[in-house]
Amino acid sequence: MVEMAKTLKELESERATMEEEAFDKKNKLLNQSQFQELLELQTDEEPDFVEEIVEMYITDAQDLLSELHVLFSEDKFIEGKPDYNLARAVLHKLKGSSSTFGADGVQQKCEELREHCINEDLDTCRDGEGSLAQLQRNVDILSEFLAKYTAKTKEIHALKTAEGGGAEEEE
Amino acid sequence: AEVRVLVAEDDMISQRVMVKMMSTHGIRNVDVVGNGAEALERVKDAGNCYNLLLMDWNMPTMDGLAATQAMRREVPAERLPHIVILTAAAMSGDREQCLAAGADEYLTKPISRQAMEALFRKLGRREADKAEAVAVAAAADDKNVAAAAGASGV
Repeated sequence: MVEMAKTLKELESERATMEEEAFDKKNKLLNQSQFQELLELQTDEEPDFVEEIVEMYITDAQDLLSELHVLFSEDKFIEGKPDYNLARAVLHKLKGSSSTFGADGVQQKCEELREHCINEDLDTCRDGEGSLAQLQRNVDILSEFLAKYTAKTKEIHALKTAEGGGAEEEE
Repeated sequence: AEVRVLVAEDDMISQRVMVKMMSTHGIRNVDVVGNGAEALERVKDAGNCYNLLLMDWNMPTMDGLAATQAMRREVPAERLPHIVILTAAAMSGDREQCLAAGADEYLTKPISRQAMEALFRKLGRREADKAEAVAVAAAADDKNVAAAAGASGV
């Protein structure tokens, strides 16, 4: 059975649904006004700007999370405990780059884990409320959303371009 | 004269976004460095004259506050840019600490479009005031030279 290509309206409706879920304050995925300000920076001169930022973020965030996993593993402990100061510095970086998208949920988890580092509460750092495990999940959800959102936006742009080209041919 | 901006920020994403924000406001002459020590060297360089310095507080090697203090000590006032310290942390007392270090302003990251536009308006007024001060000083100099020439019978 051949799958019918989606119309522009269908694709835009799918994207609007994605936005609605992301901006839903219960989900705490994205802050609407901050995310939209980022989208507004995209210009015809640099049509891949947001995609580029998303790719940079997905890579950087995973690198920073890997650093944190290493810091909390016992073979990297110094005098029997993690380097909490370095962990806080890594969290500060992750919070900063997440704020570019208005990723409220990830920023909040960074803050919670930072508090556990200040309190040197290793067990909660690793697992539990405000732990690295939770932060990892939040970043994974955000990264998946951003990748799907930019892919959807590219699809919409490609279809608009094709339809615009089709209109010129008809003329 | 074209506005020159220096961005001091160690996060690549924040760097990219700030440069893009500048360009959407028509500012293309933007230099980027990754820490306060590099920012200090750029500002000290007599070949550079920046109108605006957007500098992150937390950076490796030399942070934004230390760089600001060094600039206030080592760079002539007339060559100093408008110094804006940026931070994602936003703790109570931060603003006072930044201003005490010699920054002109403190903003939280990410910078909103509104905050950026307010900053450019302020920068416009600052540059206009500076230009006026230079013009007044030049006029005063001309008057003194003329008076001196008259007194010596030239």
